[in-house]
Amino acid sequence: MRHPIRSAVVLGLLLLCLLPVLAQAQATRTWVSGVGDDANPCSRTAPCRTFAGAISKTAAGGLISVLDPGAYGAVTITKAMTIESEGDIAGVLFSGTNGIVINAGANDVVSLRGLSLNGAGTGLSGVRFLAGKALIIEDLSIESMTTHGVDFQPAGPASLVMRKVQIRSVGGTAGADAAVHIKPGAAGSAAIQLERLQIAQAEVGLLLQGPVSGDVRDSTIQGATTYGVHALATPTAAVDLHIGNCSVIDSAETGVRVEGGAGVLRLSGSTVTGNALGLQSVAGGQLLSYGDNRVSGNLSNGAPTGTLGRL
Amino acid sequence: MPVAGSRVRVLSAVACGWLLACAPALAQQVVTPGFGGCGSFDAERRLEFSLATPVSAGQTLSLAVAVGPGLASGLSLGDSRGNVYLPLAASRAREHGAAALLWGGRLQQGLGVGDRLQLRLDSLASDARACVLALGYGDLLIEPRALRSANAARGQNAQPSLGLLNTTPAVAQAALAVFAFESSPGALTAAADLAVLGPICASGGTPCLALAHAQGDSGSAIAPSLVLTAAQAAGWQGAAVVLPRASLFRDGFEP
Repeated sequence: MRHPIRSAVVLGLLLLCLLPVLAQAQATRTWVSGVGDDANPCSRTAPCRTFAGAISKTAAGGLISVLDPGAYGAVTITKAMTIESEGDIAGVLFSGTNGIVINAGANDVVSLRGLSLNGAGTGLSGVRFLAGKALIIEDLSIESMTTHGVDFQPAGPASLVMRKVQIRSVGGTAGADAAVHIKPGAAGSAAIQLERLQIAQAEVGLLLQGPVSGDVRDSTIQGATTYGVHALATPTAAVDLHIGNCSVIDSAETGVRVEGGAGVLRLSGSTVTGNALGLQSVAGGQLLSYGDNRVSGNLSNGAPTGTLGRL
Repeated sequence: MPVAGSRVRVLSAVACGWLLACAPALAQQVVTPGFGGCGSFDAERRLEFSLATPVSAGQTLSLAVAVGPGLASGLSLGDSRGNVYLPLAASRAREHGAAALLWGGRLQQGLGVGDRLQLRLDSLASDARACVLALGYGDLLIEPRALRSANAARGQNAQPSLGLLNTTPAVAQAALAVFAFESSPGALTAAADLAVLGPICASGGTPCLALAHAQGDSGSAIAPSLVLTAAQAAGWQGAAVVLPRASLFRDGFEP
């Protein structure tokens, strides 16, 4: 009969010896390639084939880089992480599911750069954020989704930064799905900064359900099948947003719409044209203009509910 | 009832005929008779309708408008007494085949026989025709803060329908819907709790317009959708709003 204490000591020593090896198994930077293999360590010379394969070999706060053009598959991110592609087309092709899901820790920041997400007409959302501290999306293209392009529904306070993002062909016609959908959970809130978005042929361009605050600028929203921008506030979920230097064009219903007494949209330097209805306030929403917008060429232009001075 | 020309005089007898034939329930709900007509915008991009029926100050006028075909923009609505009307909801086909708009306003100045409603456009790329159907109400609140919901839908079938939001039975309210058709849908029928005016069609058969109306008192909810059945399929655009009725406040705030 073996001595139980001696066995435990041997096992403990073995684990201690293995710790450095385990730590090395997760690298700060890993790589994927169209000709890689997920059995590889995801190093520069032995890259992985998919993001899902690389993520388990990448340390929290680490970086997954793309070596060459390819389709790298859907992935769920549960820790601080950057996935980037510089110059090469890093595709995420998927159908019937979400593309990239982020369900990370409360202090985790996730960045996505240089990716191309295609839902092939059946994919749900391109990027879905459920938990984390912040999501930064840069130089992304998203297309052919049935639900949302970017679905930001943080469980707690979180921020969303988007720069140079193209989104097209999203949702249907019912007004519930959007190129960018912001809807924090019961204990959540969203601070957003959206720049240089190009949104085309979405059910709703921006669908903002509070609590959300922030700024949208230098962006174009064209051809929404319902609303270009829809701020949908409730007494416990306010929307307070500035929209600057944006164009909202050719929406089948309303260009910019704010709904609910806790909803405030402040509009400056923007063009609202070609929509069925240009500006609309519903149920007490405030649509405030700085007086330098161009609201014309809509079937009916509508009007802001108030004006703001320029300092 | 196609009517040509930039000024259209609408006979109240015809309008009352719609009410009685198409919407027996409506005759009890609407304070003033409905009126409507179709015509073409003139060279100055105006289209006027002369009233054959007076509407009193303090009443609310809702106006359903169908525009099309043609790329038109900057539509505004006014009358010869300077009353202000608000756009409430709209829907437009991507190809600009037809568009549906719903307007409303509480009259500060009453309108008499011969007063005019005027549709104006900022721009008009081609010949465009429009139809208008109007109904007056005694207790409908039409102001920006009162609009409870607004939405739109579109299709190419014989059953145009519009979902409604905020139709809680806790308050007295009314739902108004406008349907613009790209060709004649033929006779329209609806559920018993929904009244329908029209369709009326412009010359050439497009656009055609119908106005639907449902009303609920406190404790009786409006159906969650307005559904029509047309005699024949046609491309349609629809827009609907839910508005409170003044009786909502009567018990608490009014003598």
